Amino acid sequence: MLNSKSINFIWGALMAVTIGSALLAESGETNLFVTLLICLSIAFKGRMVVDRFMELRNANRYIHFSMSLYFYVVPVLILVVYLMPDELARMTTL
Amino acid sequence: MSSVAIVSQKTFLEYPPKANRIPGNGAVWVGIFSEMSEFALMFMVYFVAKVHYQEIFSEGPLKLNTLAGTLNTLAMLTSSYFVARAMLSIRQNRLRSCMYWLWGAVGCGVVYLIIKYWEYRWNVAHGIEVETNLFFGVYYYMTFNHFLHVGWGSGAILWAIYRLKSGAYSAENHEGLEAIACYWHMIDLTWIVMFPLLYVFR
Repeated sequence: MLNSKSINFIWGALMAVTIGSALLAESGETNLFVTLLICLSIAFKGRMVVDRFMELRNANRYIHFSMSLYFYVVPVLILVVYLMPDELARMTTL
Repeated sequence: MSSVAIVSQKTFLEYPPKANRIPGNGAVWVGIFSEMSEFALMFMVYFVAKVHYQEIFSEGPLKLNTLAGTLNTLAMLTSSYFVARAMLSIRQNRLRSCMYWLWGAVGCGVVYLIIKYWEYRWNVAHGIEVETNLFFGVYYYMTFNHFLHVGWGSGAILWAIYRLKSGAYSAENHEGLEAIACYWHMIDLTWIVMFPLLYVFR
């Protein structure tokens, strides 16, 4: 169970990761390493909100699984789009 | 504040969250999964558009106001933090504290809306409109949709504050408040994805 100290720490971590992402954005073009970092940040932030703020960690396992899955699938999709844009463009052309 | 009634003297220790529970109620989770699916479709549209117009989607984020996007992200995360603190307070039967945290969340929602409105004005002043190109069309579609959800969610939290002041919530029973809290966190979660897609990736 969370207490105020844990929630405070998680909020601080979320803010720090966000500011880090923004600084990365300003640093220039996103290469593979930066893309990976941002994907990890999305997964981390999503999981923190799902597990700790929404308190799904100990809640109904199907709801927890579904919400957590979102923050694995989306970062993976972002990575796939970065790595294979031309192939995906061919696959999505009517 | 005398209008905030203390319904139950029992504390968090007597009413901890039950394991394997459905937070809030089943109905709000139908809504949450519907909304997550709606935003997932928007993300799919973004991805498909991006692979077909790679140059436009690489250049688009450079023209947006990253500071506004960052401040909005910080506002959304802080609002979620305030809602989480409100939930902690209600479980400890600290009703006045719960109300203050909820007001903080509403405040962050208002800050978000103001920043977003300012950002849209800034965009227009810099020649960024819906028809400018496909990236900005997708940007406006996604962010305006999210803007509406922040407005609705803020209204829901205001309703929760009203219900709290009416004595409807206590440490023992706060299903409606928890449902609204989960809905608000969902709005934050969608922005967690949108911010990097629109402002960070180049």
